[in-house]
Amino acid sequence: MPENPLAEPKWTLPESTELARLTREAMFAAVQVNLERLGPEKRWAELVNDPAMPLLSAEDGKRVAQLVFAQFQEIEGRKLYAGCEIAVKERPDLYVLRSAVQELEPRTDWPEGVLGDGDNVFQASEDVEGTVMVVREVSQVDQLMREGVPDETIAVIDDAGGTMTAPILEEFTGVVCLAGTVRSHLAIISREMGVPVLMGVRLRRNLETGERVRVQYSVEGQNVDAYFGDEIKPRAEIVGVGS
Amino acid sequence: MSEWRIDEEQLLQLNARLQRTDDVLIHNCLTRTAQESKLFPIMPYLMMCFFDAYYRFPDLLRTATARITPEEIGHRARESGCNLSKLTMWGTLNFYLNGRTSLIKAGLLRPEDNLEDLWFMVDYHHRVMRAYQRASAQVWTLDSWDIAQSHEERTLQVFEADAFEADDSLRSAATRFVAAATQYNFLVHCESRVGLQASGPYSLGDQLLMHTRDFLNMSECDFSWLDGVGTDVPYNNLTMVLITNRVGIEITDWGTPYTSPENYQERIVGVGLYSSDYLTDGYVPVGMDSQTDLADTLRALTDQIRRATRRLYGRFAEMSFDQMVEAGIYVYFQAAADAVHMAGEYSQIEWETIDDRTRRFWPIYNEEYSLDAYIANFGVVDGMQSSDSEYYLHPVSYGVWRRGGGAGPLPGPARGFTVPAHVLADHGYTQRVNADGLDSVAGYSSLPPKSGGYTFTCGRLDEDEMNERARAFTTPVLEEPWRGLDHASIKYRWRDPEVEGLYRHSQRRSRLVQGRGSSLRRTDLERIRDEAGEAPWSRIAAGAAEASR
Repeated sequence: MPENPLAEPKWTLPESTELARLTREAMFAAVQVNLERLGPEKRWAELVNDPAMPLLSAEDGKRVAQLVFAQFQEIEGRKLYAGCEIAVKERPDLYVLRSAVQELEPRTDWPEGVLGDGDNVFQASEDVEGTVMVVREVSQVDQLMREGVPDETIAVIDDAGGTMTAPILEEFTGVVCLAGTVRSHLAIISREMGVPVLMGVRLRRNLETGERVRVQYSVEGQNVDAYFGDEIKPRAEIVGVGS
Repeated sequence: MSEWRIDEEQLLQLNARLQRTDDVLIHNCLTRTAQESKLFPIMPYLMMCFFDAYYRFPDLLRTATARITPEEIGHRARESGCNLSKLTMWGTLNFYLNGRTSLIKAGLLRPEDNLEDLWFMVDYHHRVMRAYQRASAQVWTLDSWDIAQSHEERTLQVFEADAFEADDSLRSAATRFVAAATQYNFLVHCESRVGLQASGPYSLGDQLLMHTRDFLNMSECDFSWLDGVGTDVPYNNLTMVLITNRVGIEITDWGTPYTSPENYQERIVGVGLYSSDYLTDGYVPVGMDSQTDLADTLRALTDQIRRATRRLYGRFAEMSFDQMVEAGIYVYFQAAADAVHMAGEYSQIEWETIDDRTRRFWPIYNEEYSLDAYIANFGVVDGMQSSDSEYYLHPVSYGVWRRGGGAGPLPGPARGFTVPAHVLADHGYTQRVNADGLDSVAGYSSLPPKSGGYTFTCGRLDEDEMNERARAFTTPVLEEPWRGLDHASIKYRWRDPEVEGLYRHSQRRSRLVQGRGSSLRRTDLERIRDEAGEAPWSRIAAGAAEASR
């Protein structure tokens, strides 16, 4: 029986997610079935580049995806996470937005009044007080593009990319981003625009549109070498105002 | 059928290059950025573009190298701002290798398969990069501690001499332009930084540094989604020269500049602006008649770019998931295209098509699995195929462990895929992924077909005109005797008539050093600026130091 030459490496490492393990196992299984179907007379070198894709066809791809999703749902009890909105809109049967199930920081020693903290991208001249606007959907951006962003708006964004809020980013007084690092695209663009931004924000509770907060944009920017194990600068805090 | 065989010297060289490439990749990915976007399906397009790169880059690039050598491609890329940049050259090799990694991890490829392609791709990349970065003589920016010097003295002298001192008006206009162009560029490139590029920093003495920023693919070009959207942006590629005082600058292998302090804008003291592409002989000044002209030009460009940003946002918002994945694949896949453009062999349909072999992964590489696979391949590095022997320490992750004070267990023995030495005796591997070249490759695109032109400094061209001009392009800079004059030559031969001629050619569009020749030193530039009534940079730096006391 022909065997996949990659099937049994001497040294292995586990996959770090169930989805990765299931997908790898399903792809290997599909290749093995095809090898057995093709028979022992076929050499690997004849198959590996065959444009007819005898090792893994387009149909195999569909079957692998269906099998993995079924197994994944059984094990994890949920749909797949998607980062982009269009994926959920087109395939609500398959996806849920990752940001919709964002977990709060399980820290118990939050100082009084502090609602969250994050890595400051650059040191602004002063802290900023403003009104929270949670911006999660492309349609919101479209509306803000047409109607303008209200003064003193601090946008709460769960997307570290630089494109979701592209047409209106400069109009925000400050940005609180629930993902990413100080090298993320959003951080790069905000820095160029001079719009204060915190990245990788952890929240004590979800911030709501309309509430007033003060953000410590005047603290030192996070040290980029912190990601390589160097000294980590203190995180900037978000403090509730008024209520 | 190719009968190419690798010898031991080549194999050891290949594996050393593969290992270094992988280490640089993991180092850069450790802080990589937008792994998800609300607007774009980043991870699916990123992971699937690797397959397309694996299946088609070798043969597409062979069509280029049949006409021009990798060294000539590297030299030409250095002499103009085009889509052949540090990042796209990095991507050309890494996207191909990432495809190889993904196929090995899927059980569809052995590390020794398609060995001739693998050798070709690594060799091509290193030859292009060595020529491109001839001045610094390093393949990887990381190896020079994130100094990315590619320009040579004759180009830098023009940039330095002709830059205008930044008063409040010019500084503000430059800052706003950089912000708007950066943002637009991310949008044009489906949330990737493929069209952004920087070079430098270059020392101007005291505490002054000069670096350049390239903003690429901003008007109608290879991307069909800019047809009718980027039309009003008059330049496809713009290069901004920035001179800063008391700013630390590092530029990564991805061509991204990082500054300390991060908000460096108030420390910009000089600005210049140029347009160029692979059909220009050097850099063409834009709005460089006066300080006021430059500020006005930058403000006008900023307005045009902002309008284009809004139009483009609307266009992407109307795309389907599959179209956005295709657009993203195309952006990454385009990393290799300017070599083929330079050769005059570009065919839009050939580059915009998604290979059927990639399409089979479409349902598998959903949003979540793509992110998992990305992290498994380039972040934590794990999975059944990813282990080396149990003694192995990954240089990047072990470095992080050490710098973090040795907290927690050692990282696992994860490693990328080198080529096994048994290939020297056992030739049972395949040579090329496409045994019959690109003729056997099938695929399709669901993006709207390209309807607009291709924007160059000389105007807007159609595909045939563009290829014709590319094939006819010549520049004396890349011909003997000038081609062989690098810094090491010029150091002792600066009085030779050939060197004088080369410098005068590079100075021909300069407003302050035209015809000054090869004897110029930086002190001469200071004097020339002073005589022209423009403050020398040392005086500007001294004034800034005085003001900050």
